[in-house]
Amino acid sequence: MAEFNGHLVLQAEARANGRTVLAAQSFRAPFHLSKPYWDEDARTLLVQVVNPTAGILAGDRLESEIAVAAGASLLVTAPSASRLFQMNGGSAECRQHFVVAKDAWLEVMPEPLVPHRGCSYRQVTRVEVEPGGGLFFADLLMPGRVGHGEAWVWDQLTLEIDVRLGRELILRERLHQSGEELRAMAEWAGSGPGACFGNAVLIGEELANDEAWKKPLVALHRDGLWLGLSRLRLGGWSLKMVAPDGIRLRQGLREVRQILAARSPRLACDPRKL
Amino acid sequence: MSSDKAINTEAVGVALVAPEVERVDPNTLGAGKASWGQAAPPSDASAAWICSLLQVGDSFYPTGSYAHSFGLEGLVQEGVVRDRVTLREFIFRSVLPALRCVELPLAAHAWQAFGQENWSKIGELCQLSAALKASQELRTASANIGRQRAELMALLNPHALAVEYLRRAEESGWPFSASVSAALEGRVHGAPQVAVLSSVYYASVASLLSAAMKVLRLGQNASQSLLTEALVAAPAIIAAAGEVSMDQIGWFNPWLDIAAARHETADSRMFIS
Repeated sequence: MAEFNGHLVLQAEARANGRTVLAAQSFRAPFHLSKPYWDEDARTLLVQVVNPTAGILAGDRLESEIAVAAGASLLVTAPSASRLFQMNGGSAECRQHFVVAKDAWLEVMPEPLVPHRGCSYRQVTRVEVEPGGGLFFADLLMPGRVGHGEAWVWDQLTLEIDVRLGRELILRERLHQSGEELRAMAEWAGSGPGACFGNAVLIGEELANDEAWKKPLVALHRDGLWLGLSRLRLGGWSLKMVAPDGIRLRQGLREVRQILAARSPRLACDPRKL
Repeated sequence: MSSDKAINTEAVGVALVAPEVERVDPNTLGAGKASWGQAAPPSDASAAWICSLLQVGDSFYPTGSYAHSFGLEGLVQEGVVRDRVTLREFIFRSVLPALRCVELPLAAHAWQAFGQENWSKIGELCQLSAALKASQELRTASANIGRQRAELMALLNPHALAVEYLRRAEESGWPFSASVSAALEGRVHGAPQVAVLSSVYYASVASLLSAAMKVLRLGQNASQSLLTEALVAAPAIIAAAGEVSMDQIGWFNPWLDIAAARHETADSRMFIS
Protein backbone atom coordinates (compact mmCIF):
# COMPACT_ATOMS: atom_id res chain seq x y z
CA MET A 1 0.00 0.00 0.00
CA ALA A 2 1.42 3.41 -0.99
CA GLU A 3 2.23 5.76 1.87
CA PHE A 4 2.05 9.47 1.28
CA ASN A 5 4.16 12.28 2.61
CA GLY A 6 1.81 14.91 1.32
CA HIS A 7 2.15 18.62 1.68
CA LEU A 8 -0.01 21.61 0.91
CA VAL A 9 1.33 25.16 0.95
CA LEU A 10 -0.93 28.09 0.12
CA GLN A 11 -0.21 31.76 0.38
CA ALA A 12 -3.13 34.09 -0.24
CA GLU A 13 -2.54 37.76 -0.99
CA ALA A 14 -4.69 40.71 -1.97
CA ARG A 15 -4.20 42.37 -5.34
CA ALA A 16 -4.59 46.08 -5.96
CA ASN A 17 -8.15 45.52 -7.26
CA GLY A 18 -9.09 44.00 -3.90
CA ARG A 19 -9.26 40.44 -5.17
CA THR A 20 -7.51 37.63 -3.33
CA VAL A 21 -5.19 35.38 -5.30
CA LEU A 22 -2.96 32.46 -4.46
CA ALA A 23 0.44 34.12 -4.70
CA ALA A 24 2.11 30.80 -3.98
CA GLN A 25 0.89 27.24 -3.99
CA SER A 26 2.52 23.87 -3.71
CA PHE A 27 1.01 20.47 -3.08
CA ARG A 28 1.86 16.81 -3.30
CA ALA A 29 -0.40 13.75 -3.15
CA PRO A 30 -2.67 12.95 -1.49
CA PHE A 31 -3.42 16.68 -1.64
CA HIS A 32 -4.80 18.12 -4.84
CA LEU A 33 -6.21 21.56 -5.46
CA SER A 34 -9.18 22.36 -7.64
CA LYS A 35 -9.30 25.65 -9.52
CA PRO A 36 -9.96 28.48 -7.05
CA TYR A 37 -13.15 30.51 -7.35
CA TRP A 38 -13.46 34.20 -6.56
CA ASP A 39 -16.81 34.92 -4.90
CA GLU A 40 -17.47 38.54 -5.82
CA ASP A 41 -20.34 38.96 -3.37
CA ALA A 42 -18.53 37.53 -0.36
CA ARG A 43 -15.20 39.01 -1.52
CA THR A 44 -13.57 35.70 -0.73
CA LEU A 45 -11.44 33.23 -2.66
CA LEU A 46 -12.79 29.69 -2.39
CA VAL A 47 -10.23 26.91 -2.55
CA GLN A 48 -11.19 23.27 -2.49
CA VAL A 49 -8.62 20.76 -1.30
CA VAL A 50 -9.27 17.33 -2.74
CA ASN A 51 -7.88 14.02 -1.62
CA PRO A 52 -8.07 11.92 -4.81
CA THR A 53 -7.19 8.74 -2.92
CA ALA A 54 -9.72 6.75 -0.91
CA GLY A 55 -8.75 8.48 2.32
CA ILE A 56 -6.02 8.44 4.94
CA LEU A 57 -4.11 5.22 5.45
CA ALA A 58 -1.35 3.91 7.71
CA GLY A 59 1.96 5.65 7.16
CA ASP A 60 0.47 8.81 5.68
CA ARG A 61 2.10 12.03 6.86
CA LEU A 62 0.28 15.15 5.81
CA GLU A 63 1.43 18.72 6.29
CA SER A 64 -0.48 21.90 5.47
CA GLU A 65 0.82 25.44 5.69
CA ILE A 66 -1.68 28.13 4.82
CA ALA A 67 -1.01 31.84 5.22
CA VAL A 68 -3.35 34.73 4.45
CA ALA A 69 -1.76 38.14 4.03
CA ALA A 70 -3.26 41.52 4.95
CA GLY A 71 -6.35 42.41 2.94
CA ALA A 72 -6.85 38.87 1.60
CA SER A 73 -9.82 36.59 2.30
CA LEU A 74 -9.71 32.82 1.84
CA LEU A 75 -12.08 29.91 2.37
CA VAL A 76 -10.49 26.46 2.38
CA THR A 77 -12.83 23.52 2.19
CA ALA A 78 -13.01 19.92 1.01
CA PRO A 79 -15.65 18.20 -1.11
CA SER A 80 -15.92 15.03 0.94
CA ALA A 81 -15.32 13.53 4.35
CA SER A 82 -11.82 12.39 5.31
CA ARG A 83 -11.96 8.67 5.94
CA LEU A 84 -9.40 7.27 8.35
CA PHE A 85 -8.99 3.64 7.32
CA GLN A 86 -8.06 0.63 9.42
CA MET A 87 -4.32 0.81 10.00
CA ASN A 88 -3.30 -2.64 11.25
CA GLY A 89 -0.84 -1.39 13.83
CA GLY A 90 0.34 1.57 11.77
CA SER A 91 -0.70 5.18 12.18
CA ALA A 92 -1.19 8.40 10.24
CA GLU A 93 -0.51 11.98 11.19
CA CYS A 94 -1.67 15.34 9.90
CA ARG A 95 -0.08 18.65 10.89
CA GLN A 96 -1.69 21.88 9.83
CA HIS A 97 -0.54 25.43 10.41
CA PHE A 98 -2.68 28.45 9.59
CA VAL A 99 -1.45 32.03 9.77
CA VAL A 100 -3.78 35.02 9.45
CA ALA A 101 -2.40 38.55 9.18
CA LYS A 102 -4.03 41.75 10.38
CA ASP A 103 -6.98 42.70 8.11
CA ALA A 104 -6.98 39.20 6.62
CA TRP A 105 -9.70 36.54 6.81
CA LEU A 106 -9.42 32.77 6.79
CA GLU A 107 -12.19 30.24 6.96
CA VAL A 108 -11.36 26.56 7.24
CA MET A 109 -14.37 24.32 6.73
CA PRO A 110 -13.38 20.74 5.95
CA GLU A 111 -15.94 17.96 5.76
CA PRO A 112 -15.96 15.64 8.79
CA LEU A 113 -13.33 13.15 9.85
CA VAL A 114 -14.71 9.61 9.76
CA PRO A 115 -12.59 7.20 11.79
CA HIS A 116 -12.98 3.59 10.68
CA ARG A 117 -12.46 0.53 12.84
CA GLY A 118 -8.86 0.16 13.97
CA CYS A 119 -7.52 3.47 12.70
CA SER A 120 -4.81 5.35 14.56
CA TYR A 121 -4.63 9.02 13.72
CA ARG A 122 -3.20 12.21 15.16
CA GLN A 123 -4.08 15.67 13.92
CA VAL A 124 -2.19 18.70 15.19
CA THR A 125 -3.55 22.12 14.28
CA ARG A 126 -1.76 25.36 15.06
CA VAL A 127 -3.52 28.64 14.30
CA GLU A 128 -1.89 32.05 14.60
CA VAL A 129 -3.98 35.16 14.13
CA GLU A 130 -2.59 38.67 14.31
CA PRO A 131 -4.78 41.17 16.15
CA GLY A 132 -7.18 42.58 13.58
CA GLY A 133 -7.28 39.31 11.61
CA GLY A 134 -10.42 37.19 11.29
CA LEU A 135 -10.96 33.44 11.48
CA PHE A 136 -13.68 30.84 11.33
CA PHE A 137 -12.21 27.39 11.87
CA ALA A 138 -14.50 24.38 12.12
CA ASP A 139 -13.49 20.80 12.81
CA LEU A 140 -16.13 18.09 12.47
CA LEU A 141 -15.94 14.53 13.76
CA MET A 142 -18.25 11.60 13.08
CA PRO A 143 -18.12 8.54 15.35
CA GLY A 144 -17.46 6.24 12.38
CA ARG A 145 -19.35 4.65 9.51
CA VAL A 146 -22.66 4.85 11.29
CA GLY A 147 -24.59 3.66 8.22
CA HIS A 148 -22.62 0.42 8.37
CA GLY A 149 -23.20 0.01 12.07
CA GLU A 150 -19.55 0.79 12.80
CA ALA A 151 -18.95 3.55 15.33
CA TRP A 152 -16.58 4.47 18.16
CA VAL A 153 -14.10 1.73 17.22
CA TRP A 154 -10.91 3.59 16.43
CA ASP A 155 -7.66 2.42 18.02
CA GLN A 156 -6.20 5.87 18.70
CA LEU A 157 -7.58 9.26 17.84
CA THR A 158 -5.87 12.46 18.93
CA LEU A 159 -7.08 15.85 17.76
CA GLU A 160 -5.18 18.84 19.07
CA ILE A 161 -5.65 22.50 18.38
CA ASP A 162 -3.77 25.55 19.66
CA VAL A 163 -5.02 29.00 18.75
CA ARG A 164 -2.85 32.04 19.34
CA LEU A 165 -3.92 35.62 18.99
CA GLY A 166 -0.99 37.98 18.76
CA ARG A 167 1.30 35.16 19.98
CA GLU A 168 -0.76 34.60 23.11
CA LEU A 169 -2.29 31.16 23.54
CA ILE A 170 -6.05 31.67 23.80
CA LEU A 171 -7.31 28.15 23.22
CA ARG A 172 -5.91 24.65 23.64
CA GLU A 173 -8.12 21.65 23.02
CA ARG A 174 -7.15 18.02 22.99
CA LEU A 175 -9.36 15.06 22.24
CA HIS A 176 -7.59 11.84 23.11
CA GLN A 177 -10.38 9.62 24.40
CA SER A 178 -11.02 6.09 23.32
CA GLY A 179 -14.13 5.46 21.25
CA GLU A 180 -15.69 3.63 24.18
CA GLU A 181 -15.16 6.61 26.48
CA LEU A 182 -16.79 9.04 24.04
CA ARG A 183 -19.61 6.60 23.23
CA ALA A 184 -20.38 6.25 26.94
CA MET A 185 -20.33 10.03 27.40
CA ALA A 186 -22.68 10.47 24.43
CA GLU A 187 -25.05 7.93 25.99
CA TRP A 188 -24.83 9.65 29.38
CA ALA A 189 -25.61 13.03 27.80
CA GLY A 190 -28.46 11.63 25.71
CA SER A 191 -26.87 12.42 22.33
CA GLY A 192 -27.28 8.85 21.12
CA PRO A 193 -25.05 6.27 19.45
CA GLY A 194 -24.39 8.39 16.34
CA ALA A 195 -23.35 11.59 18.11
CA CYS A 196 -21.27 13.90 15.92
CA PHE A 197 -19.12 16.79 17.06
CA GLY A 198 -18.46 20.24 15.70
CA ASN A 199 -15.77 22.38 17.22
CA ALA A 200 -15.35 25.89 15.89
CA VAL A 201 -13.32 28.97 16.72
CA LEU A 202 -14.45 32.40 15.69
CA ILE A 203 -12.30 35.51 15.71
CA GLY A 204 -13.40 38.81 14.22
CA GLU A 205 -13.59 42.41 15.33
CA GLU A 206 -16.80 43.03 13.35
CA LEU A 207 -18.47 40.40 15.52
CA ALA A 208 -17.13 41.88 18.74
CA ASN A 209 -18.61 45.30 18.09
CA ASP A 210 -22.21 44.13 17.91
CA GLU A 211 -23.23 40.94 19.64
CA ALA A 212 -26.87 40.88 18.45
CA TRP A 213 -25.99 37.77 16.43
CA LYS A 214 -25.46 35.75 19.60
CA LYS A 215 -29.12 35.38 20.54
CA PRO A 216 -30.34 33.66 17.34
CA LEU A 217 -27.19 31.58 17.29
CA VAL A 218 -27.58 30.11 20.78
CA ALA A 219 -31.28 29.56 19.99
CA LEU A 220 -30.15 26.84 17.58
CA HIS A 221 -29.72 24.65 20.67
CA ARG A 222 -32.86 22.56 20.16
CA ASP A 223 -34.25 19.35 18.69
CA GLY A 224 -31.31 17.24 19.78
CA LEU A 225 -28.65 19.73 18.68
CA TRP A 226 -26.43 20.89 21.52
CA LEU A 227 -24.81 24.24 20.83
CA GLY A 228 -22.82 26.47 23.12
CA LEU A 229 -21.01 29.72 22.47
CA SER A 230 -18.56 31.20 24.90
CA ARG A 231 -16.12 34.05 24.75
CA LEU A 232 -12.42 33.20 24.74
CA ARG A 233 -10.04 35.09 26.98
CA LEU A 234 -8.98 37.34 24.13
CA GLY A 235 -10.60 38.32 20.88
CA GLY A 236 -12.92 35.48 19.94
CA TRP A 237 -15.41 32.77 20.71
CA SER A 238 -15.48 29.03 21.07
CA LEU A 239 -18.48 27.40 19.42
CA LYS A 240 -19.25 23.78 20.17
CA MET A 241 -21.92 21.54 18.74
CA VAL A 242 -23.02 17.98 19.38
CA ALA A 243 -25.67 16.51 17.09
CA PRO A 244 -27.38 13.12 17.05
CA ASP A 245 -26.24 12.52 13.45
CA GLY A 246 -24.18 14.00 10.65
CA ILE A 247 -27.13 15.52 8.82
CA ARG A 248 -28.21 17.49 11.88
CA LEU A 249 -24.62 18.60 12.49
CA ARG A 250 -24.21 19.93 8.93
CA GLN A 251 -27.59 21.62 9.09
CA GLY A 252 -26.61 23.28 12.36
CA LEU A 253 -23.33 24.50 10.93
CA ARG A 254 -25.09 25.92 7.85
CA GLU A 255 -27.47 27.83 10.12
CA VAL A 256 -24.56 29.12 12.21
CA ARG A 257 -22.82 30.43 9.09
CA GLN A 258 -26.02 32.09 7.85
CA ILE A 259 -26.47 33.91 11.15
CA LEU A 260 -22.85 34.99 11.30
CA ALA A 261 -22.83 36.07 7.64
CA ALA A 262 -25.18 38.92 8.51
CA ARG A 263 -22.33 40.47 10.51
CA SER A 264 -19.36 38.94 8.73
CA PRO A 265 -20.24 38.87 4.99
CA ARG A 266 -17.31 36.67 4.02
CA LEU A 267 -19.13 33.80 5.71
CA ALA A 268 -21.75 34.09 2.95
CA CYS A 269 -19.31 32.37 0.60
CA ASP A 270 -20.85 29.02 -0.30
CA PRO A 271 -18.29 26.26 0.36
CA ARG A 272 -20.20 23.95 -2.03
CA LYS A 273 -20.05 26.41 -4.92
CA LEU A 274 -17.45 24.36 -6.83
CA MET B 1 -27.15 2.58 33.33
CA SER B 2 -26.76 0.50 36.46
CA SER B 3 -24.46 2.11 38.95
CA ASP B 4 -22.59 -1.13 39.54
CA LYS B 5 -21.84 -1.80 35.89
CA ALA B 6 -18.09 -1.76 35.35
CA ILE B 7 -16.97 0.00 32.19
CA ASN B 8 -13.29 0.37 31.71
CA THR B 9 -12.20 3.82 30.71
CA GLU B 10 -8.83 2.60 29.64
CA ALA B 11 -7.16 5.76 28.45
CA VAL B 12 -7.72 7.60 31.68
CA GLY B 13 -7.17 4.70 34.01
CA VAL B 14 -10.53 5.13 35.66
CA ALA B 15 -13.20 2.48 36.01
CA LEU B 16 -16.77 3.13 37.01
CA VAL B 17 -16.27 0.55 39.71
CA ALA B 18 -13.07 1.76 41.23
CA PRO B 19 -10.34 -0.87 41.03
CA GLU B 20 -8.65 -2.25 44.05
CA VAL B 21 -5.67 -0.07 44.68
CA GLU B 22 -2.88 -0.06 47.14
CA ARG B 23 -3.69 2.44 49.82
CA VAL B 24 -1.06 5.04 50.51
CA ASP B 25 -0.12 5.35 54.14
CA PRO B 26 -0.18 9.09 54.81
CA ASN B 27 2.43 8.58 57.52
CA THR B 28 4.95 7.74 54.84
CA LEU B 29 4.47 10.97 52.93
CA GLY B 30 7.64 12.95 53.32
CA ALA B 31 8.81 10.84 56.24
CA GLY B 32 11.41 8.13 56.52
CA LYS B 33 10.89 4.56 57.65
CA ALA B 34 11.49 3.59 61.22
CA SER B 35 14.31 1.12 61.72
CA TRP B 36 11.96 -1.72 62.63
CA GLY B 37 10.27 -1.46 59.22
CA GLN B 38 7.12 0.30 60.27
CA ALA B 39 6.13 3.72 58.99
CA ALA B 40 7.66 6.43 61.08
CA PRO B 41 5.29 8.94 62.61
CA PRO B 42 5.10 12.25 60.79
CA SER B 43 7.95 14.59 61.55
CA ASP B 44 7.35 18.08 62.91
CA ALA B 45 8.00 19.42 59.43
CA SER B 46 5.39 17.23 57.78
CA ALA B 47 2.92 17.97 60.56
CA ALA B 48 3.32 21.64 59.62
CA TRP B 49 2.53 21.21 55.93
CA ILE B 50 -0.24 18.70 56.60
CA CYS B 51 -1.94 21.25 58.84
CA SER B 52 -1.40 23.99 56.27
CA LEU B 53 -2.86 21.92 53.45
CA LEU B 54 -5.83 21.07 55.67
CA GLN B 55 -6.31 24.80 56.20
CA VAL B 56 -6.23 25.74 52.49
CA GLY B 57 -8.44 22.80 51.59
CA ASP B 58 -11.06 23.51 54.22
CA SER B 59 -14.45 24.94 53.26
CA PHE B 60 -13.79 27.51 56.03
CA TYR B 61 -10.88 28.88 53.92
CA PRO B 62 -12.29 31.73 51.80
CA THR B 63 -11.35 30.81 48.25
CA GLY B 64 -14.81 31.51 46.86
CA SER B 65 -15.16 27.98 45.49
CA TYR B 66 -18.45 27.52 47.38
CA ALA B 67 -20.04 29.87 44.82
CA HIS B 68 -19.19 27.59 41.88
CA SER B 69 -20.58 24.30 40.64
CA PHE B 70 -17.91 24.00 37.89
CA GLY B 71 -20.45 23.27 35.16
CA LEU B 72 -22.63 20.92 37.20
CA GLU B 73 -25.57 23.32 37.50
CA GLY B 74 -25.57 23.75 33.70
CA LEU B 75 -25.65 19.97 33.23
CA VAL B 76 -28.53 19.75 35.70
CA GLN B 77 -30.38 22.47 33.78
CA GLU B 78 -29.86 20.52 30.56
CA GLY B 79 -31.29 17.40 32.22
CA VAL B 80 -28.10 15.36 31.88
CA VAL B 81 -27.32 15.10 35.59
CA ARG B 82 -30.56 14.25 37.34
CA ASP B 83 -29.78 12.00 40.30
CA ARG B 84 -27.07 10.07 42.07
CA VAL B 85 -26.58 7.64 39.16
CA THR B 86 -26.07 10.33 36.51
CA LEU B 87 -23.96 12.38 38.92
CA ARG B 88 -21.75 9.36 39.48
CA GLU B 89 -21.39 8.92 35.72
CA PHE B 90 -20.36 12.56 35.44
CA ILE B 91 -17.75 12.18 38.17
CA PHE B 92 -16.20 8.99 36.84
CA ARG B 93 -16.51 9.74 33.12
CA SER B 94 -15.58 13.41 33.15
CA VAL B 95 -14.50 14.94 36.45
CA LEU B 96 -11.84 12.40 37.40
CA PRO B 97 -10.43 12.04 33.85
CA ALA B 98 -10.28 15.84 33.59
CA LEU B 99 -8.40 15.96 36.90
CA ARG B 100 -5.99 13.36 35.59
CA CYS B 101 -5.49 15.01 32.20
CA VAL B 102 -5.71 18.73 33.06
CA GLU B 103 -5.79 20.11 36.59
CA LEU B 104 -3.44 17.66 38.31
CA PRO B 105 -0.79 17.81 35.56
CA LEU B 106 -1.01 21.62 35.65
CA ALA B 107 -0.46 21.54 39.42
CA ALA B 108 2.39 19.03 39.08
CA HIS B 109 4.22 21.07 36.45
CA ALA B 110 3.64 24.26 38.44
CA TRP B 111 4.93 22.63 41.64
CA GLN B 112 8.12 21.67 39.82
CA ALA B 113 8.44 25.08 38.17
CA PHE B 114 8.01 26.92 41.50
CA GLY B 115 10.71 24.67 42.95
CA GLN B 116 13.10 25.78 40.22
CA GLU B 117 11.80 29.36 40.23
CA ASN B 118 11.26 28.83 36.52
CA TRP B 119 9.09 31.90 36.00
CA SER B 120 8.76 31.60 32.24
CA LYS B 121 7.28 28.12 32.68
CA ILE B 122 4.94 29.38 35.40
CA GLY B 123 3.73 32.11 33.04
CA GLU B 124 3.26 29.50 30.32
CA LEU B 125 1.26 27.30 32.71
CA CYS B 126 -1.00 30.20 33.70
CA GLN B 127 -1.77 30.90 30.05
CA LEU B 128 -2.22 27.21 29.31
CA SER B 129 -4.60 26.80 32.24
CA ALA B 130 -6.82 29.58 30.87
CA ALA B 131 -6.56 28.39 27.26
CA LEU B 132 -7.69 24.90 28.26
CA LYS B 133 -11.03 26.26 29.41
CA ALA B 134 -13.09 27.14 26.34
CA SER B 135 -16.02 28.10 28.53
CA GLN B 136 -15.78 31.59 29.97
CA GLU B 137 -17.47 30.58 33.23
CA LEU B 138 -15.12 27.67 33.90
CA ARG B 139 -12.12 29.82 33.00
CA THR B 140 -13.25 32.68 35.19
CA ALA B 141 -13.98 30.33 38.08
CA SER B 142 -10.42 29.02 37.99
CA ALA B 143 -8.99 32.53 37.59
CA ASN B 144 -10.97 34.00 40.49
CA ILE B 145 -10.23 31.12 42.84
CA GLY B 146 -6.59 31.14 41.76
CA ARG B 147 -6.25 34.86 42.40
CA GLN B 148 -7.95 34.63 45.78
CA ARG B 149 -5.73 31.74 46.86
CA ALA B 150 -2.52 33.42 45.73
CA GLU B 151 -3.38 36.73 47.38
CA LEU B 152 -4.47 35.05 50.58
CA MET B 153 -1.28 33.03 50.60
CA ALA B 154 0.83 36.17 50.29
CA LEU B 155 -1.23 37.87 53.00
CA LEU B 156 -1.16 35.03 55.52
CA ASN B 157 2.33 33.73 54.77
CA PRO B 158 4.32 36.56 53.19
CA HIS B 159 6.75 34.08 51.68
CA ALA B 160 9.09 35.45 49.01
CA LEU B 161 7.80 32.94 46.45
CA ALA B 162 4.18 34.05 46.84
CA VAL B 163 5.08 37.73 46.75
CA GLU B 164 7.23 37.27 43.66
CA TYR B 165 4.53 35.25 41.90
CA LEU B 166 1.95 37.97 42.50
CA ARG B 167 4.36 40.64 41.30
CA ARG B 168 5.17 38.78 38.09
CA ALA B 169 1.55 37.82 37.42
CA GLU B 170 0.53 41.44 37.75
CA GLU B 171 3.43 42.72 35.66
CA SER B 172 2.98 40.18 32.84
CA GLY B 173 -0.81 39.95 32.89
CA TRP B 174 -0.79 36.21 33.56
CA PRO B 175 -4.27 34.80 34.09
CA PHE B 176 -4.60 33.24 37.51
CA SER B 177 -5.20 29.52 37.84
CA ALA B 178 -6.56 27.51 40.77
CA SER B 179 -4.14 24.67 40.05
CA VAL B 180 -1.09 26.91 39.78
CA SER B 181 -2.04 28.63 43.04
CA ALA B 182 -2.46 25.24 44.73
CA ALA B 183 1.09 24.40 43.66
CA LEU B 184 2.27 27.72 45.06
CA GLU B 185 0.61 26.94 48.40
CA GLY B 186 2.28 23.56 48.44
CA ARG B 187 5.71 25.04 47.78
CA VAL B 188 5.30 27.78 50.39
CA HIS B 189 4.27 25.21 53.00
CA GLY B 190 6.93 22.69 51.99
CA ALA B 191 4.44 20.04 50.91
CA PRO B 192 5.57 17.30 48.51
CA GLN B 193 4.03 17.06 45.06
CA VAL B 194 1.90 14.02 45.87
CA ALA B 195 0.36 15.86 48.81
CA VAL B 196 -0.42 18.92 46.69
CA LEU B 197 -2.06 16.80 44.01
CA SER B 198 -4.01 14.89 46.67
CA SER B 199 -5.22 18.17 48.12
CA VAL B 200 -6.34 19.43 44.66
CA TYR B 201 -8.04 16.11 43.98
CA TYR B 202 -9.92 16.09 47.27
CA ALA B 203 -10.96 19.75 47.08
CA SER B 204 -12.19 19.39 43.49
CA VAL B 205 -14.38 16.37 44.16
CA ALA B 206 -15.61 17.62 47.53
CA SER B 207 -16.53 21.07 46.11
CA LEU B 208 -18.46 19.47 43.29
CA LEU B 209 -20.35 17.16 45.64
CA SER B 210 -21.10 20.02 47.95
CA ALA B 211 -22.63 21.90 45.00
CA ALA B 212 -24.47 18.75 43.93
CA MET B 213 -26.27 18.61 47.28
CA LYS B 214 -27.74 22.04 46.51
CA VAL B 215 -28.94 21.34 42.97
CA LEU B 216 -29.97 17.69 43.26
CA ARG B 217 -31.94 15.58 45.69
CA LEU B 218 -28.81 14.16 47.19
CA GLY B 219 -28.26 13.48 50.86
CA GLN B 220 -25.17 13.58 53.04
CA ASN B 221 -24.63 9.83 53.01
CA ALA B 222 -25.09 9.54 49.25
CA SER B 223 -22.59 12.31 48.59
CA GLN B 224 -20.10 10.90 51.09
CA SER B 225 -20.35 7.48 49.49
CA LEU B 226 -19.53 9.03 46.10
CA LEU B 227 -16.65 10.94 47.63
CA THR B 228 -15.32 7.75 49.22
CA GLU B 229 -15.51 5.94 45.89
CA ALA B 230 -13.70 8.77 44.14
CA LEU B 231 -11.00 8.79 46.82
CA VAL B 232 -10.31 5.09 46.27
CA ALA B 233 -9.40 5.95 42.68
CA ALA B 234 -7.17 8.85 43.77
CA PRO B 235 -3.75 7.14 44.08
CA ALA B 236 -3.85 5.72 40.55
CA ILE B 237 -5.10 8.97 39.05
CA ILE B 238 -2.58 11.12 40.92
CA ALA B 239 0.28 8.82 39.90
CA ALA B 240 -0.82 8.89 36.25
CA ALA B 241 -1.24 12.69 36.29
CA GLY B 242 2.39 13.08 37.32
CA GLU B 243 3.43 11.45 34.04
CA VAL B 244 1.50 13.80 31.74
CA SER B 245 3.79 16.06 29.72
CA MET B 246 2.91 19.68 29.00
CA ASP B 247 1.86 18.98 25.41
CA GLN B 248 -0.37 16.09 26.48
CA ILE B 249 -2.47 18.22 28.82
CA GLY B 250 -6.09 18.43 27.72
CA TRP B 251 -9.48 16.76 27.94
CA PHE B 252 -12.58 16.80 25.76
CA ASN B 253 -16.12 17.00 27.13
CA PRO B 254 -18.18 19.13 24.72
CA TRP B 255 -21.39 18.60 26.71
CA LEU B 256 -19.83 20.18 29.79
CA ASP B 257 -18.50 23.13 27.74
CA ILE B 258 -21.87 23.65 26.06
CA ALA B 259 -23.80 23.39 29.32
CA ALA B 260 -21.38 25.85 30.95
CA ALA B 261 -21.73 28.22 27.98
CA ARG B 262 -25.52 28.09 28.21
CA HIS B 263 -25.37 28.59 31.98
CA GLU B 264 -23.80 32.02 31.30
CA THR B 265 -27.16 33.28 30.02
CA ALA B 266 -29.52 31.07 32.03
CA ASP B 267 -32.67 32.78 33.29
CA SER B 268 -31.98 31.66 36.82
CA ARG B 269 -28.98 30.15 38.53
CA MET B 270 -27.68 29.45 41.99
CA PHE B 271 -23.97 29.25 41.20
CA ILE B 272 -21.60 31.61 39.37
CA SER B 273 -20.40 28.70 37.23
